[in-house]
Amino acid sequence: MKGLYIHIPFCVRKCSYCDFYSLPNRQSSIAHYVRAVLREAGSFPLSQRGIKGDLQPLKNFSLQTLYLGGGTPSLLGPQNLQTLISGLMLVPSPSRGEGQDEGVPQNGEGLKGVGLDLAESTLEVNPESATPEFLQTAKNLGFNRLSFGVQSLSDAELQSVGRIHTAAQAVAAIKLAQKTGFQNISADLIIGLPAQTWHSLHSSLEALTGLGLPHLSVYCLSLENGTQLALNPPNDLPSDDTQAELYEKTRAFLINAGFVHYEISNYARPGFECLHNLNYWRGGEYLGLGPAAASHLDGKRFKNNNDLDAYLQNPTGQVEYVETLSPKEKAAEEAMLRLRLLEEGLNTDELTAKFSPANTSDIILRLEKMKREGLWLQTGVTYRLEPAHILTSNSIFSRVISG
Amino acid sequence: MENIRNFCIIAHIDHGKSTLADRMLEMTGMIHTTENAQVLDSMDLERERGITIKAKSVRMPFKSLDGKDYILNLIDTPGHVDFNYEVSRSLKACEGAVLLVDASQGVEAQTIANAYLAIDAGLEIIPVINKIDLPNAMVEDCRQQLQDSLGIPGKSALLVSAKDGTGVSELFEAIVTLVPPPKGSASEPLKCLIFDSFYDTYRGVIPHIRVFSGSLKHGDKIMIKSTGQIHDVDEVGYFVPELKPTELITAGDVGYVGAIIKKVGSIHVGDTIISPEHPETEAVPGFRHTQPMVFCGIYPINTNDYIKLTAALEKFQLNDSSIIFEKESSAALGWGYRLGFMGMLHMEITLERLKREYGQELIATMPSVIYKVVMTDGTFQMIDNPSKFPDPTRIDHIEEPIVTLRVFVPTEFVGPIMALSDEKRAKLVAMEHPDKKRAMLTYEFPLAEMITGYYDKLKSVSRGYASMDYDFLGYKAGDFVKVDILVKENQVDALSFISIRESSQTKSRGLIHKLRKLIPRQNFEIPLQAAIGGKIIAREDIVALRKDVLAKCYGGDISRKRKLLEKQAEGKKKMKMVGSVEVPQEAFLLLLKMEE
Repeated sequence: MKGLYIHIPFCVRKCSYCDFYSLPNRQSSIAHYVRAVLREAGSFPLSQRGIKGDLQPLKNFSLQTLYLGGGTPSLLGPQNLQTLISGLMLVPSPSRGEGQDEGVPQNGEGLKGVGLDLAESTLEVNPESATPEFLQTAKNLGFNRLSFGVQSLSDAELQSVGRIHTAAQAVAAIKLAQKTGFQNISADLIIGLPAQTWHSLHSSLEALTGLGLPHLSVYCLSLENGTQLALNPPNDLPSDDTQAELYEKTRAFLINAGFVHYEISNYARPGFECLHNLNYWRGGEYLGLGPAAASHLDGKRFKNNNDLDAYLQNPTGQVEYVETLSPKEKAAEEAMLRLRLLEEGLNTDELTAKFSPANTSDIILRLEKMKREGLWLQTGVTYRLEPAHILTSNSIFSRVISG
Repeated sequence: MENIRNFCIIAHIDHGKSTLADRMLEMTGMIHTTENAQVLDSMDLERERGITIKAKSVRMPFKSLDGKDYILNLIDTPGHVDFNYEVSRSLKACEGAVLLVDASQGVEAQTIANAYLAIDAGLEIIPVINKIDLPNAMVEDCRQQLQDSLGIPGKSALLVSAKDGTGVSELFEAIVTLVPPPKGSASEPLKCLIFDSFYDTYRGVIPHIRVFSGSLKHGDKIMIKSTGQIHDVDEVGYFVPELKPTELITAGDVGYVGAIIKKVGSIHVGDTIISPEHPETEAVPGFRHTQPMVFCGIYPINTNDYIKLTAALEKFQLNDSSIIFEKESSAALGWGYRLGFMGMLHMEITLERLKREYGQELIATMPSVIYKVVMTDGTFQMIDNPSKFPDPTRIDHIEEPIVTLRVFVPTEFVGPIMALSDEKRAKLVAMEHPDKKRAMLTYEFPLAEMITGYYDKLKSVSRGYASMDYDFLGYKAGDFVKVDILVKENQVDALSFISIRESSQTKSRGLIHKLRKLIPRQNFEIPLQAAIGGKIIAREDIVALRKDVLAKCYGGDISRKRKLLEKQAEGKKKMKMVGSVEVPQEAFLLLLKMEE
């Protein structure tokens, strides 16, 4: 199972809470950017990018999921989206014509009716840029999942953090997407927006579930260093305790509505879990393209610099760091990630099979000790986080990682 | 012997004693440049705080205007109230004392206390007014204060600037003329006073001695009067200021004796060295084993460092035999030591030095004094650790140590200082006015109140002008209770304290309130309680932490978030566990300073 992530670092306006790498007022660089991404995609093997190893991710890369995130991928517009996807199709791979030249593909060429044919291809969409043409292009290109940045269905809350769309636009965009033929649609919501109450959050949840969405990501707002919100936090930000209360109520509401709380911040109707993200939490491999994008291949994690201009000039020379962990650390990392999966949990036999007993025995001892403290639900060799401890899981995960 | 002069310099803290010593060493060619070197204060910490902790001495050659050559032995004395006994021992080794007064500050509490010690020791006093180069020097006022408060003829005071050397030559001449030469005979049986000692890794304990009679050389045998131990003399010598071996030291001399004394506890300041051939030789009067007055527990932050701490303390004691320590264990803090100190400042400096010189991270518990607990059966116990208090039903009554405290202060601060002292249960026994501008307040002061921040507050309410000095007076009964602190039903023995009943609730509330701020919220509710016996007298709750979660953890976040969790795990390792509650080590350190 391998995933491909492509970062689209453009926004019309920066939301006050956002600490993702994304720049406003740079849309004029989008076409240039798409060509750069395609150059990066075609640039393997990795050794040419200063990473040790002989990986050829897109060659011999059995891609199963694609995720276009941002930023605002819907700012690409139909033309650039088509260029990007059709270009990726031409990147040499065994299944798609090995032996073709490894250069940058020509814009607009190569799609010729062959769309994405992956288990899951997700496109992030912002309500205000979800035009019928764009959605139709995405559909034609083979995208089979959309993730809408809704955040709230209260206009006051949206305005308070600098969102540039209204609640009505969000609902209209989702309806349009459904009409275009997308069923697998997710929406992001935020808990803890200024002046938010259970009343307003409840309305948002009801409206979104009412639209028949099979997936919701619900995040607790956090003040990230350097964001506008952290620099000037408004007085009416709900406290952590209030956030906790809203989180618990959200969880109860969605479970009652038939959703599975499958990850700390993610809910899905059975069968609609996000495969691309599941791969992250199962310690799977993925390649990230674009500035600030991260990858996990052959046991190494590496990431590109947060620098659009440098990327445009030299998209293949942007690796900021390569992290190589010991097998023991790797096992602990995977345990921590898998324990975020509240239903699937961590199967210690599988972990041991992957990393060998020498690297997992300490982790298992710690898990057993914590089990006696009531922190886990255990079924055979599978550990799952006890729901009462989800909101204080940091201290639990930190013990899983290092005792 | 006629040409030897043994003298010391006594002064209130910061009146320029070390600078004067430096200048004298420089002018007699013992050192070349000083640039504020303060040679006698060799410990960094001493220099930083401007306090001489350990007495040392130096032998200086001096050619007087009368044409004769003299040997001047300067014996440095500790300059802090915690070390009165060491001062008195150093004075015993001299015939004269230079009484130094800062021209800009005038006579202060320790000027008086030290002058009385010198007068009691029968020394010739040479009054000196120092820092006359300062623009705010009040020479005439100082003369008057010397006259009024000590009965020393102020007119005869020499005027000196130790900083620029003015008047130091005249001071040398005065020492030669006024300080009597030592008495005693080299032909009489050996008698030496130990006024200090230090530990050398190869040569063991090296006592600093003043020879009163007889003589000492390599190969002699010596006997420690109080213990009867006999040692072989390996080396004798002088301080110049480093050790300089010599053939013989004799009556009147000040020097050292090396005798491969490996056991640290076997040499005590104030003891007498005699010859085993004359065991009947009388001791120099006044020897006593020093009694620590202030105690606290220290614990390694990482319990695995206990062995390291033990080694550090043993090594430390070699250079400061006045600290005592014994093993103790705390349910909350694990294995540690109970340390006894001469006073609060001694404690602070020792803890600081342990951390600095030995690289030890420590948790120190709240300081305590020794309570005398009289039992119903008439026996009594001396308790230096609140957690060791006997069962209250067996206690008849409890007595606490009282000191006589003298506070010297400009008259405008008398009001605030009296108010402050009242709060501390002090009893005013006398108020004198040594001169028009200043008052000397004498208190009977509970030591327990003094060690919890009194000195700092005294300085702050008097804007730094007040000075103080104290000595032990005796024990006095009071209505005391032991307060226990419970964190989530677990008693934290390290936080137990003794209080008079009347203020126990206020103190408990203060402590609990602070503790609530020091312990971070955790995944469960934490009741904090103060109790006397089974009765809860104060309570606050730390509500459960409800949110500590990483909402987002996707492809780009994983490395960063893993590091975040690792950091959290690291932080947790620095916590002390009290039952299931993680208590940051800073909580103990901050509570130490919490007395408000």
